[in-house]
Amino acid sequence: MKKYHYILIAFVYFFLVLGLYTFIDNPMRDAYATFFQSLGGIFCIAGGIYVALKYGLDNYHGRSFLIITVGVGCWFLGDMLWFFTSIFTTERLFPSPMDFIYLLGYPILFYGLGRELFINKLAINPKKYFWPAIVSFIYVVAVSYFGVYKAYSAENTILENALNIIYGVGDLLLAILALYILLKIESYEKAKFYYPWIIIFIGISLYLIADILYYIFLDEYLAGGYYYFDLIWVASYAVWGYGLWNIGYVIKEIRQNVSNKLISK
Amino acid sequence: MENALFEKRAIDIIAQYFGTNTANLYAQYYKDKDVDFIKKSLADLLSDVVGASTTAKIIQEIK
Repeated sequence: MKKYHYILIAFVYFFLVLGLYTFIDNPMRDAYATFFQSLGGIFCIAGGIYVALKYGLDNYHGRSFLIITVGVGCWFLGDMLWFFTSIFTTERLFPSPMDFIYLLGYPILFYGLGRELFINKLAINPKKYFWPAIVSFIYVVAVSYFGVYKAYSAENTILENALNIIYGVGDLLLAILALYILLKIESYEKAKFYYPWIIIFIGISLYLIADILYYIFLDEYLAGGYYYFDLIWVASYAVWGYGLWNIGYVIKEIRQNVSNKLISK
Repeated sequence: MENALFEKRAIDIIAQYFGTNTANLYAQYYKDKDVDFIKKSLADLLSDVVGASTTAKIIQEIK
């Protein structure tokens, strides 16, 4: 598959979901759109599997990307189970087993992402800390306030409050890892791994933005409005997956180059 | 450093950064090549993919 095939599929998919939201009224919209929004995680999973296989599972990076994929896979599984349960009930199931599956994805993702980010001997230039620090500070403050501090409600049970806060803490850690991705990006100095990691950073940023908006407008979202947030999650998965897929493409390109040299030897 | 030893270290680094399959191809490519050739090829590959500063750190560790 070439790069433009992926971009084309992602665009078609995005506009398909947008079309479902725009032209189909409730209750059909909720059912179809939730399904297709949940299915968006496939982009990220496919990208993760592609890059893991390109490295090979005997390789440290290959295993890291596989773990990242399993983490995102938990989110996907949680989302899909939410969709299937939404067929049988219109009530918001919270807390539910899906919350635990979804939350399980966070530590797995952090472990994989942490392995990948902290292994390389990066040449980090302290002069380039400024913008990563500002961007990360904004994410950390927004997630801490809306996702963790505001997540507590006296009306909720202890379990509900705990789960809400754990979601926020998960996003907070993701925001901190996003900072390290920015530092990693700087160290690549526009070499071939530079752009894939920028794309991954944009994907994670979109995910965090969607989550922050969800925390802020939770009541409106659950009442059926503000459903366009789902599109940000779809875009996030597609962009994140594209970044992962691009890392695999770089490995493929290296192999092709040396194979060509061997042929002409 | 001996030719064979440097070649082995270069292949190990390629395996570490880009996977065993890529390293196997480079092992064939580096066969019967001298240290200077391998050093330049490895530096070119790494700086093309991970950037010049990180490459300098990696190369320094081989020496």
